[in-house]
Formats: sequence, C-alpha cells, structure tokens
Amino acid sequence: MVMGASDLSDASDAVLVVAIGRYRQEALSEAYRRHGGAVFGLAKRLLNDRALAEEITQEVFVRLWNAPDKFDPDRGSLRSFLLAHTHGRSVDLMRSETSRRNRENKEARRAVDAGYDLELEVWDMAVAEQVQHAVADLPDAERKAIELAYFKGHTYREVAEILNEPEGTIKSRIRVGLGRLKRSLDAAGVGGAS
Amino acid sequence: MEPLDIELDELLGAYALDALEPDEVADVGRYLMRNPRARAEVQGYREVAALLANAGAAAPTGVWDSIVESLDAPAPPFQLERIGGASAAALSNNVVSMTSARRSRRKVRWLSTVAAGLVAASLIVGLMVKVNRQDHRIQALDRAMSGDSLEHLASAAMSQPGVHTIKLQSDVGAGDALAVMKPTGESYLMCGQLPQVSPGMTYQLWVRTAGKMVSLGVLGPSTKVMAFTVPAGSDEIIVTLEHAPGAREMSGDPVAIGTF
Repeated sequence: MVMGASDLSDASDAVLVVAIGRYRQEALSEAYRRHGGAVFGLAKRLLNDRALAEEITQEVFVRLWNAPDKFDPDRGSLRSFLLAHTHGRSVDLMRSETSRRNRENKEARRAVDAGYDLELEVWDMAVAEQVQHAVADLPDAERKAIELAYFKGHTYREVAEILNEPEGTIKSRIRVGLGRLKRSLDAAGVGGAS
Repeated sequence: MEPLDIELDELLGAYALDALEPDEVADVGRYLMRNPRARAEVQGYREVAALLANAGAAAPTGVWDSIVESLDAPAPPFQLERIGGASAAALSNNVVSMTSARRSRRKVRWLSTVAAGLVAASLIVGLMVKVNRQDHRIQALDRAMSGDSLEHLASAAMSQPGVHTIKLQSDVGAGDALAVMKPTGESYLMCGQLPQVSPGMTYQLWVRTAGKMVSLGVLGPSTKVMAFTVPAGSDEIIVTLEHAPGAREMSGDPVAIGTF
C-alpha cells in the first residue's frame, strides 16, 4: 500500500525515513516541518549566524535524503539524530575558526561570570516546563559545564580552562549532569525527544 | 597505550556533546563498537541534548527551497519505449542530407536503427545504474531499519506453533544456516556464520518454485538474518555466491541448500 502525502502527517518518524529512502520528497518535507525548526534553532544558537545556520540546516536534511539508512530508530529518535548531526557540524565549523574560538572563550568567560542560566535558554511548548525543572535542579557546576560544552561548542578541556577546574572534574560533571537530567526527564515522561 | 574502559566511560558524556579532542573521539568510537551498554548511554545523553536544544520554532521556509534544489533527482520510471523512440527520431533528423535519396533513406534507416540501439543501450545502462543505486539505498535502509529487530523477530518466530524450520546443508561452513517459515509464508533466514566473501561478491537467496529459480533477495557479504516470503509451491531454498550487486538469474555456486 502506498501512503499519500496526507497520511505522512500522521506517520511515525521511522515510517517517514522509510518513505524518504524510497525517494518520496513529501516525506522529507514532513520531516523538515517537524524538525527543521529545532535543527535551525540549534545551529543558529551555536553559530550565532543566520546564513551559516541555514547552510547547516540544508546540509542536515540533504544528508537525510541522501543517506536515510544512517538513521536507526532502535538507537533513538529522528530528532536526536538530526540534532546530533547539526551539533557536530556546527561545532566543526566553530572550531575551524581559531580566532573566533578565542574570542568566544572570552565571551564565555564573561557569560559564566555573569551567572547566565541554561533554563532560560531552553524552551519548547510541549516539554519546556519539565526540561526547565530538570535543568534547574542541576547543581550549578554541572549546568555550567554542560552549557559550555553543548551550547558554546567547547571541548571539556576548554571548559576546564574556562572554569579553572581539573579536566577530570569537568568530564565527570558533564557525564553526571547528563545522567541526572536523563533520570529527571525520564521520570517526567519526556525522556525521549519526539 | 589504549585507555582503560573505566577511563573511556568517563568520556561518554563529553562524547555525546561533541566535546572531546579528535584522538579521544577515535578511542571512544572504538569502545562504543564493542560495548552496547556504552552505546545506549551515549544515545540516552543525545536524547537529553535534543531536549535541551529544542528551540520550538517553526522551520525556516526559505531553507526548504534550497534543500529541494539540491536534492538528487529520484530514479526515473521505466519508460524506455517513449524515451528511446524520441531520441532515435531526433538523431535521424541529423542524417537526412545524403546525396542519393534511396541510399540515403536506407542509410538513414540503418543509422537510425543503430543510433536508436545505442541510445536505448545507454539509457538502459543509465537506468540500471540508477535502479541499482536505488536498490542499494533501499536495501541499506531496510537493513538499518531491521538490524537487531529482525533477529528478535526470527528468534520469536522459532517458538511459535506451526512454524517449519529447515536446516540448510552446506559443505563450505554455512551448515548452521536455518530457514524459519511461519504458516503465513512469512519466513526468516538465519545465516549463522557464513564465511566472509571476497570483495565484489555477495550472498543471494533463491527458492525453486515450479521448477524455476526465483531470487528472494541479496544478503550482502555479512547479513545475519533476512526476512522473506516463500512463494507457494516452492520446494527448495538455496543460498548462492554471486557477483555484487546480485544476479538476475542464478549463476553462482550454491553454498547452502535446504529442501521443504
């Protein structure tokens, strides 16, 4: 049975990817409608550049079109798959610009000193409240380490330097903090990105 | 010196956030390949990161136009007659200025036929490449989508009532290949330890139905489990070694055979 375009709006992400594998452009369009905003939002936040964020967004969805088999539904959601690629490419771009990175190190240092909080940056209509609670419950040290690594694109060694902490402490904080967030979000019923 | 597992475990959070140095990424990548628990841990962190990243904004519309423009065209439908005919007519228009009308007409017909043949042949080759590429893409997708799930389904099928199992006979080390067939015809081939094939070769599954060998699909060089449907009236199942990407008609050596 062939699904029509209207059926795809109710299809699971896994079904969408199978349809993309069969060169159905409307399936890619539906995937873009669902996840394009998050992909673009993350890229823009990381790169702070709309044009580059649009390039990354385009690259991420063209890659999904060209190699849908890279997505394995048994290993996580389509959104986390797309965002992982978005993050990786964005970070690659950031790290390729040494002078920019140095500038960002200084900015990050100021931001940490100013006591920015991750929870203000995180929002989504469906899960914002639970995510905010989970993030708010994190110890400050873990939240800062995760923020600098994920949203600023720093390696844990750079984070250690920025926060003036031992590298081992930072990598441990990132892992423990992510584990804490996961348990908290799982308990709130939003553990898997949809 | 290779890092200890406990040291690699400490890096999993940073790995999920792309916060490792390149040499560490390689170490953790190797670790993940051999440790399913660590893979699951990283995936869990990535799901968390996806929630943190969720901006909740609408997808930008201008970008979609750029995406569409850069997509590969889908594989064309099979319309050989129409395309071939049109191309031959176009080519024949280029050869009508010969001196002898009669000779010219014969030559035109001959050249048209040759040209049409060449065009059709090139189209067929082009289409085969595209179709083959599409087959690869779909097979790769099916494999990715099934993976472990197929193994679970095959294992579960074995314990169901009315299931018929056939142990395939082999003298090349594929003796533990097993076909599991449900009464509905839904079946699984569990390949066990098929020997590694040389580059450019692939395993392919066939059944004999009404005296004819029918391909049920290509197993690739290392597939462990394959799902298939047995056509009614089949009496033999065979795994052969064929040249990649697979053969239209069985031509390779059988490596395992089972009788229904």
